[in-house]
Amino acid sequence: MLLEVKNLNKKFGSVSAANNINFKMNENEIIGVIGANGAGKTTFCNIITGYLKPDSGVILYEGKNITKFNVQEIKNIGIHRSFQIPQVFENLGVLENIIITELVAKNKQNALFEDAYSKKNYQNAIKLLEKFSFDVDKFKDKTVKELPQGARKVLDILIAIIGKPKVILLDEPTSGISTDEKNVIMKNILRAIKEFNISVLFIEHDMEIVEKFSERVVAFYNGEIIADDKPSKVFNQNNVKKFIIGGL
Amino acid sequence: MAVKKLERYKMRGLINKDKLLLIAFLFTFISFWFLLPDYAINTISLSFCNGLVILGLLLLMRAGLISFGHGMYYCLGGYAVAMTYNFLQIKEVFVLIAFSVLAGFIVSFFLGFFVRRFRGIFFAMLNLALSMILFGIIVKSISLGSTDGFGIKELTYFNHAIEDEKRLNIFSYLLIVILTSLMMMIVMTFLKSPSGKILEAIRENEIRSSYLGISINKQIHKIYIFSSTLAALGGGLMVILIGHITPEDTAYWTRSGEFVFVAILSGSLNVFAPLIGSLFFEFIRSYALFYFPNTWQMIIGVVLILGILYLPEGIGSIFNKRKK
Ligand SMILES: Nc1ncnc2c1ncn2[C@@H]1O[C@H](COP(=O)(O)OP(=O)(O)O)[C@@H](O)[C@H]1O
Ligand SMILES: [Mg+2]
Repeated sequence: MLLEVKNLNKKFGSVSAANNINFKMNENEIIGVIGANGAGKTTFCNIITGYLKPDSGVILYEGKNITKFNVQEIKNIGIHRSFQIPQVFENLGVLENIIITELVAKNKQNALFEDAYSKKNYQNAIKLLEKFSFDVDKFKDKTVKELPQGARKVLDILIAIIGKPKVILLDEPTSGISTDEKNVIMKNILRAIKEFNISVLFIEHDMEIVEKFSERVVAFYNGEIIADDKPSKVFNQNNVKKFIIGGL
Repeated sequence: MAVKKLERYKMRGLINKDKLLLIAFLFTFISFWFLLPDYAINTISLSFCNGLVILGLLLLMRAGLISFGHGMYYCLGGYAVAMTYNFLQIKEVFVLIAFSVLAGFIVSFFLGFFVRRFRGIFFAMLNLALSMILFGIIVKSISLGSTDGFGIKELTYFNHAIEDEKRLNIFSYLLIVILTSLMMMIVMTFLKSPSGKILEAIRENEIRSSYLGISINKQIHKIYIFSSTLAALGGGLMVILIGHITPEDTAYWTRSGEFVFVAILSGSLNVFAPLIGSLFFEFIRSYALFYFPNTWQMIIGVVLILGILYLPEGIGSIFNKRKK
């Protein structure tokens, strides 16, 4: 078992954002997560990645208890994430975003006697962006704040992939992206991720995308998991139809 | 021959445009000793001592922080020199300077554990509070010289006494100019390294930075020590130049405010900006004080407004046009 969550609870005041959640993830799995706004999907990611501490419950990673790990420790054991609202270095260039991420991934955050923005590092960054079908020629000389929403989103995901994670959590990777682009972007991202043997959990509102790209679907409702199965089964479950698909 | 050698160094990245510029900067200021009148040399020397504090603030600004209390380390560095001189009878300049650096390093190392948890205005004001505490302690302690402070007399450079000389002499001038250039070189190398770029990541987005695995508080602690030690060195050199220190001129909040003023005017684009900014400020101050003794603060205010309007990224942007 790669990742296991047992009896997880988290309350914000009277709102129960995680209500006795049990969840398991195997190696190389691609899991889609669905649920209406406010169902607790992002909170689930925040707790796993150590950003929020649960009120109770246990998180195991390869059998090891990681419930008390902080964000850096979680990252260092190989769980990375992307964000619903891209978290990138807005005033830095696209390539500089990638270079800094790679430097930290190579554990060079205290290196003093080398040039961070060397020609070699720029070339590597360009290669990496090309590999993920990022429109390098168009965007490489831009700062992040000049990018369109879709490109920013992809950059945020790429930053999460750098550093060979074992698990990656994608929080609404296609939100704010046009319907035509969604498929292309998901395909590119998942192809790249597959190559590295990374397990993926992605939160998604578009049921077609979920059906197409996931092998397993987990449905959240009011902080609870109400379904966890193959896409076809979950989509046909009554409460899922009523509370999630019908509610969209 | 020489040209070929230079080319080879360039290839290996040992020499680049910025380093050449810095070497030119150093030799220009050394040559000023022979060209400019005493009062100008004095102003340059003093502005370099203060410029080291601004250079320290530049490091904090790279990480998105500012301190309203960096005068504290300027004061500590100065008192380290003055007290070592008076209480330990040490007259060797290089030993005195070592004490000022050590004082800044040790104090910022311990205070760093406390201040590194704060950001923005809280970080700035906390430093202000700490510097006012130091001010209070010194003013209330007779053994620390109270409001009178301390003076120092003749010094030795590598055991050579300079008797009956003025405080400002070729040795103290070279010491200040060379040490300042050396610090600029170190800061420049640091800012280009991964360590330096990490600061920009922290400034831009702390959430993503911590998700990349950066230990943000530790990085801020590191930069705080670096920055404070530079400020202490500046204070130490200032005492060697002026021969006297008081708490009012160093740890009091108006002095820290002046440092912040010059730091903002200078911007954080490159390591030349703090020194040029400081130079500019000292000259304006001495001229304005001379010609407009009652309105010089107003002139300084107008300069800041012009700076904000026309050079929003600071004086550094004059010779650092974005390479894009
Ligand atoms: N930091 C927070 N403080 C207070 N309430 C929060 C916080 N984060 C999330 N919530 C609440 O928890 C619930 C679940 O939120 P979230 O996990 O963001 O939902 P989702 O991602 O599924 O849309 C919502 O009711 C939300 O308002
Ligand atoms: Mg969400």
